[in-house]
Amino acid sequence: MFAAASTAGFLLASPEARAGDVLRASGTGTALGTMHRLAAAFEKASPGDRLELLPSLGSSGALRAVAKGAIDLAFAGRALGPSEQALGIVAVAYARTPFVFVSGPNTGVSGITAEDAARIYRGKLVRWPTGERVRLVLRPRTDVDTMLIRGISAEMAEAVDVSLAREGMLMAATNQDADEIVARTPGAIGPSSLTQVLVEGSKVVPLAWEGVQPTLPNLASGAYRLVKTLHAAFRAPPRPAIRRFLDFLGSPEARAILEDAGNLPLAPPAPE
Amino acid sequence: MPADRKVVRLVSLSAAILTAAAVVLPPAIYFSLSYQREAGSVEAEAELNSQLITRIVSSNPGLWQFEQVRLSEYLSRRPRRGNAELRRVLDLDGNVVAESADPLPSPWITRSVSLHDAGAKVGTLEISRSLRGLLVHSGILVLVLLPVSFLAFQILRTVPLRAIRRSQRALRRERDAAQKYLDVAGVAVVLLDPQGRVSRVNRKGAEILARAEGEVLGKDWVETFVEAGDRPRVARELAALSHTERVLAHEYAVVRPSGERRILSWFATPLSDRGGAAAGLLGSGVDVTVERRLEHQLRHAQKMEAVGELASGIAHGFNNVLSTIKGYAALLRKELPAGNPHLADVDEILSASERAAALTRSLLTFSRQEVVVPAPADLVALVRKMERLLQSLAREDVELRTSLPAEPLRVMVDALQIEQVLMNLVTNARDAMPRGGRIEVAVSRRLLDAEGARQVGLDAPGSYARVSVTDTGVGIDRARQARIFEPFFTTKETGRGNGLGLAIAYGVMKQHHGAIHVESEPGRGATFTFLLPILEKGEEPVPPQREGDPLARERVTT
Repeated sequence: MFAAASTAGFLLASPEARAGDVLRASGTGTALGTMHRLAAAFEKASPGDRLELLPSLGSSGALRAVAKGAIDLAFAGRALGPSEQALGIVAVAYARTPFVFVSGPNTGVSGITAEDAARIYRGKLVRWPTGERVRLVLRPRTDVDTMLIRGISAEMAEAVDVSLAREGMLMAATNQDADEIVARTPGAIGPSSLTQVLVEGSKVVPLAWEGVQPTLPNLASGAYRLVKTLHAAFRAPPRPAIRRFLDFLGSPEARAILEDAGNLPLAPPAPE
Repeated sequence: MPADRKVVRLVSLSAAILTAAAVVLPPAIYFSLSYQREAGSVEAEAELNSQLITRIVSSNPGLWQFEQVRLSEYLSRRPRRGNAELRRVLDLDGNVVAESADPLPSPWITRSVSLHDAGAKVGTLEISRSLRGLLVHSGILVLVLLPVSFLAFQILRTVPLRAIRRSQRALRRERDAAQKYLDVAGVAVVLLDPQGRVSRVNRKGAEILARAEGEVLGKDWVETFVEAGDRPRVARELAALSHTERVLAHEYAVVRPSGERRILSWFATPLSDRGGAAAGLLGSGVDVTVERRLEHQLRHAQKMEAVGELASGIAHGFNNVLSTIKGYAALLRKELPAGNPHLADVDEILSASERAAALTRSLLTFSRQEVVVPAPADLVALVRKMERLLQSLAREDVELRTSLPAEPLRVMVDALQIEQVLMNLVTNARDAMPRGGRIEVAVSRRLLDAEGARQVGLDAPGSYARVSVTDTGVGIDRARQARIFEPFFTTKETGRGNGLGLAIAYGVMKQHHGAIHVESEPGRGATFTFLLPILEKGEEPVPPQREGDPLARERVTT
């Protein structure tokens, strides 16, 4: 259904639009790695169109850039807030990816539970089984990852607040920074996403959550409960090139790329 | 006391300034140093953060201003327990790109650093830090210092004041003691400043000047108090003394407000300050007015005695010769027959002999050799009886007034001689007023103490009948006053007086245990006053001749 609609949309694109266009895009680091792969495929599938990916601005920064007209497309790891909707931005969810906790060297663990996570964030669990000190990598309070962790449970939300109030904590400003810090820091643990780990090739270990491995089948089945939904946002009404890109996202080729990059495509991608 | 208040005010002010400095300076220094440290710290932080942010700008020059999360994250990296800060990244239009804001109590300090991309300014990093904490700490420091400073103020104020007051009390005691020494010294002590103004005078000095101490202080000594005639000499001597180290002994007269002159014998010495500069003069003076008057009177009396003896000798000899001339002239007149043309010549001889005899009587009166016939008499009645005679002596352009008491004043006198004296005085007064004027004859009772008696040349204190003859004439200068009672001394033109009138008056008064003196100033008229001892009721008449007076025993007959 998704593929048919996308293909139909792609084929029904107007001759004028097919004259080609450049879409400037940026967004969360979680999505940009995959988007680099999709951009190449999109340019082949839609000759004349080009998806120019700019350095990561984060979800919020990219959404503001769209609102200001600085870029055409924003890839966000969260849905729009009311203030963003008021700016005339439209977002469509196009994929989901397992939201994971990743560990660095010498932790000696392959998974954690919600209780472990809460204790780690509260500073109660300070040593890994290896004896290594637990080094928690935090994200800014307003970052999507922090909001996702807080959304796990009320207890987790409190634990996150405690961690943010602690001094001397490691803080990563971007998704890529977070993976890099975790990868090089012994005993480190921090939030990430399956797609980012796969696409960026980060040397981190995605941990099982409550004994469930962060895989797409587990995500699809609902066994794995931590999820980050990726959105494509643009100013309404969308330009033809944007429509063509959204159509492309529903294409089998794009879905395959998304899945290969650790994303579970959603169908159909339509404005929320 | 004003000086005391001044010292108290000065010490209190000094203590207050020191205390205020102790209260204000440490917090001010603390605040200043801390402010500089905070300013440096903010600048350093701005510089460091600008480097981080510039890295973000460089990595995404087109869209860096949308990296709010990452920028905010960088901006929020700061010590949690530092002062409240507002950190903002602004674009070129001044719009806030990202910020990390604490509630920022005023006042605050702000430092800005430009953000660049390849040398072009793209925005500004602004860091504001609250200084409230710093102010609070400074305030706490002030509060801590206040009680300590208050204590310090009390000590700084009390200790010096106590010492000063102790010194002042000691100084006051010393000064009071010194003042007492000066006051009981019995001599005038006067301190002059370098300008010759009186800076200190003791009680005796003020008493001699007949002024309150306050009236004397600050006045120019020479110009204000020294008698006009002595001023040039005294000013010259004191000026010369200022540059020496010697003690000057000199004598001059000072004048009281009433015009009375007092003669003082001074010892004066210059004073110098610690640096050796002239600091004025110190003088101590003894009132020698009485001594000088007595000396003068003594000299005068001695002179009059000598003149009297001379006159007496001449009169005696001349009287003997005159007796012979008169005797032979009388015989010759008796022997010449009537109608003899030489009778007229003999009468001329006899007439001239009578005039010569009168002259010798005057000389003998002056030298107290004339026989007096004293008898109790009312001086007031005597003067009243003479009023018409005296009026006739005065010219038409001279008004004569008498002022007589109601009570009688009994005196033991030879009335004829007293009448002669009074006529002489009125005649002199008239002659002293060539353009007319007024003569006032006044009689009064005067009680004199020993000092008062001495001053007018009387031997003993007591009650005296005082007769004064005052004119509004030309007056007599001091030099002439000294010789006025000498025989043959006259101020009248030649032929108008023989110079014996006042000498006779002087001799008569001496014979009656009385005295005569003159008070006058040139141009202001003159007053001749004679005094005679009053016979009180029941008092035995005393012969006017003094016992033991060698001259008194030599009675001269004419």
